[in-house]
Amino acid sequence: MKERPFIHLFRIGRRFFFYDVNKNQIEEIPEYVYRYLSTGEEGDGQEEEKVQEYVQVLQEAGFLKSSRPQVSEHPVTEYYGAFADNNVGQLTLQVTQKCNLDCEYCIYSGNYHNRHHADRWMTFETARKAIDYLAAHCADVETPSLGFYGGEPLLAYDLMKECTLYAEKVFEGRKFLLNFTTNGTLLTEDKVDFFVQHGFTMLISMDGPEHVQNRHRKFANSEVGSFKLLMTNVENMKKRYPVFFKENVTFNTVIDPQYPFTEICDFALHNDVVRDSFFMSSIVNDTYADEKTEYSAKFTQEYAYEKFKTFLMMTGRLDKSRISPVMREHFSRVKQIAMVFERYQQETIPYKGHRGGPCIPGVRKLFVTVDGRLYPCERVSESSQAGVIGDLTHGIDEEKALSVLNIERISSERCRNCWGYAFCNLCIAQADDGQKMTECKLCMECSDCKMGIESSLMDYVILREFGYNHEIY
Amino acid sequence: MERIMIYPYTRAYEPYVRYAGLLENREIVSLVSSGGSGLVGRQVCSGEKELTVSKDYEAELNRCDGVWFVNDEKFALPEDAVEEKIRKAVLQGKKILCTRTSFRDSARIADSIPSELQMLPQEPDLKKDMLGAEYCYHIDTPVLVVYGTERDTDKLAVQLALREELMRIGYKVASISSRMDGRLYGMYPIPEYMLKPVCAEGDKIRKYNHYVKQIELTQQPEIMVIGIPGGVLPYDRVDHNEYGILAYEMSFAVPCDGAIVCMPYNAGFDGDYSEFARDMERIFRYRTIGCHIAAAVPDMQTALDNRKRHLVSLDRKFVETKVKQYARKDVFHIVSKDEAPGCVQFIVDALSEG
Repeated sequence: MKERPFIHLFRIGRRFFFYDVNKNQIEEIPEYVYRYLSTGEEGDGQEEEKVQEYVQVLQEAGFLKSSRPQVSEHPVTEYYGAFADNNVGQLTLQVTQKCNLDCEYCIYSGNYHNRHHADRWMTFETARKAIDYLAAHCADVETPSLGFYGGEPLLAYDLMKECTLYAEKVFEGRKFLLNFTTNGTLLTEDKVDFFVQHGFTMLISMDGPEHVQNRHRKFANSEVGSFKLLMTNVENMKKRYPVFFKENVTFNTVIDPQYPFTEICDFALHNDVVRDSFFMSSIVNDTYADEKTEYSAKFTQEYAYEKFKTFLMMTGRLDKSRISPVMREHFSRVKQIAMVFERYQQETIPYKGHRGGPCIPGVRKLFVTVDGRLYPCERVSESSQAGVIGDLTHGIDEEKALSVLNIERISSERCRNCWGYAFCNLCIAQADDGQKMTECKLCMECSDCKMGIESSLMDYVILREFGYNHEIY
Repeated sequence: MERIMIYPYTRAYEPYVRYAGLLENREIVSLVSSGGSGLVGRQVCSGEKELTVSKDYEAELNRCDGVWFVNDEKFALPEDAVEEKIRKAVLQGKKILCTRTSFRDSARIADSIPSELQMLPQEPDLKKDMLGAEYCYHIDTPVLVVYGTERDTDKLAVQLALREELMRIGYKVASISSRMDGRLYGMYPIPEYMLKPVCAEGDKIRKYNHYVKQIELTQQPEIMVIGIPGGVLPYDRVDHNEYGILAYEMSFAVPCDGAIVCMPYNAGFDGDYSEFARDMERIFRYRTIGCHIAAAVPDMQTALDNRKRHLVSLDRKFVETKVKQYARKDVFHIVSKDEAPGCVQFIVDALSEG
């Protein structure tokens, strides 16, 4: 081949594959073709002929093209203004920066350099402006969503109430969603009554059995863990509002890979209160952390077994009831990859485009800090100027938002030649060095990101082969 | 001149506001929307002037002689809130036109409006009971069809633009709309039986053909413009556009002499729609003679998240500029005032050549 094809080779056991970036498809190939594509060596005599023949068939089917994107520009760039004016889907209010817990891996804990807990509160005036902003910029959205975030948002319960009543008045009967993220320790009966009455959905942080939850999630300035109070509140809520609990409450488990994993899965699977609940789970996020996350051998082993069981569920071989709720949605990325493969096949990668990763800042999500500054989402550093895309007084700073959207431009050459182009998930959160977005900071995350993509592609290949259908399982 | 308010105003009614000049003895003076619609304070072009969307129903009511209560699928205001607004208008002696179809008991709502306040447009004056054949009649008048690749692609605006411009240059036009609420504008609605499972599919084809034939016999137009609701072809297994069944039935009922396709803006589109036009000719026997680029663009991220195509509105001026770059007579943004005469002349010429 004259030019280097835009592909990524990988193997699973003794089987060989390549992911073709141009066609956005995975193909299995014989070992001799794999060897040729990875080293350029065609072998001798008979094998050389076989390689050429095979490669020609692939090329005739449109594989192995060398085309790469030439211009880095997110497709939304030319009409970003229309999206920001009409398509703001979710606005989240940081009602307070204060928390009654002091969780070690919380992004506010002090172990991260993007945020710190502080005795700072949003005023109703700021919240009102934010709600008005959402109402004025959601004309094309089917169901706008208003979220509450902290610190611990329930510390600002009165403000949440005031905002809810105001939003209901503003939206005048138009369907919109209300949600909040909480540690669950302040979920008293009167508060729950209000949330049920107003149709909230809530995401409650719950890491596992008592000793796991209490390992990190302790009350501020004390060594007392939050498990007992959390479980009392959750149990009480379930008893009083079983339907609401089933349909509107989701749990979020942050997994610390330094410790064993099975006990977390077993807790969620067997605990009477939460076993039928929907869980989201993720490994501790170390994006802005001072130290990188360590994985213990025990965790790795136990995680692999739970993953194996989950794959059996995903291919219809094991009943869902035998899988821990913590794992049931854990491989949502594979599902997303399956959807992308199914729906977005192409012949050649577009000449102009942008890699995966950034959301459309200020559109898909919009995070409003206690003082009314606007950020693309709650995960972006508040300590850096890089992530500020405007404020409630002046609205979105389009130039700033476009630079966040077109993050590929800081590493164009590298990204346009990267096989992970379509599935990359690096955004401003990984590129922010505390002052601005830099290629250097971004590149530090590149190899982990590519490993993650490769691992998901492998998972997808295996699952597909064993009958995985993302619409059914 | 009767001054009309539209309530609750949504983007779906922008074409009616834009082409308010087609109303006889009526003008739209006020647009009132829910505060959470995202439209309050926005300017909407209405002929030569611009109207500002308000949320103050009571204040705007004082400026009007009548209120047009319309559908609001996306916003779905509670029924009792809309009913309350009707009551307020009736109390103030305002005329009422209600094309809202979402009321659970629309007969009760209609009964609550005194007959002298009912602003009903005249029922289509068709020559009834004269067509009884168990087959489709030949339509002698040239038929121009307006169809879209999907929902929300400006089809109504295109139908109104064509109606306005064709009438301006002297044609007698009969429009059979893709919607049911265009009577104020002299458009015949798509009959309800086409949108509901009330009769056999074959009967729908014949009934629609007879309906169009009756309009032809009654109006004796020089051209008929027919709008096809929804999208015409499935994008894929997930975005199925109801498989284009309605378009298929309508194409059997009334073959057309030419068709305009409406599609959303797409940065990768180079102005060549011939492949799509070939499919349309093969499946529906529609000869597509022009392409209107709508002021909307797909939001791919939302489509991936929700497994459902989602369009975001664009500024019409942006689309006008982009369309000019194609430098093709048959690709246009016909809603543009400056462009409409040239586009319509092009369409008339293409129909004549056909």
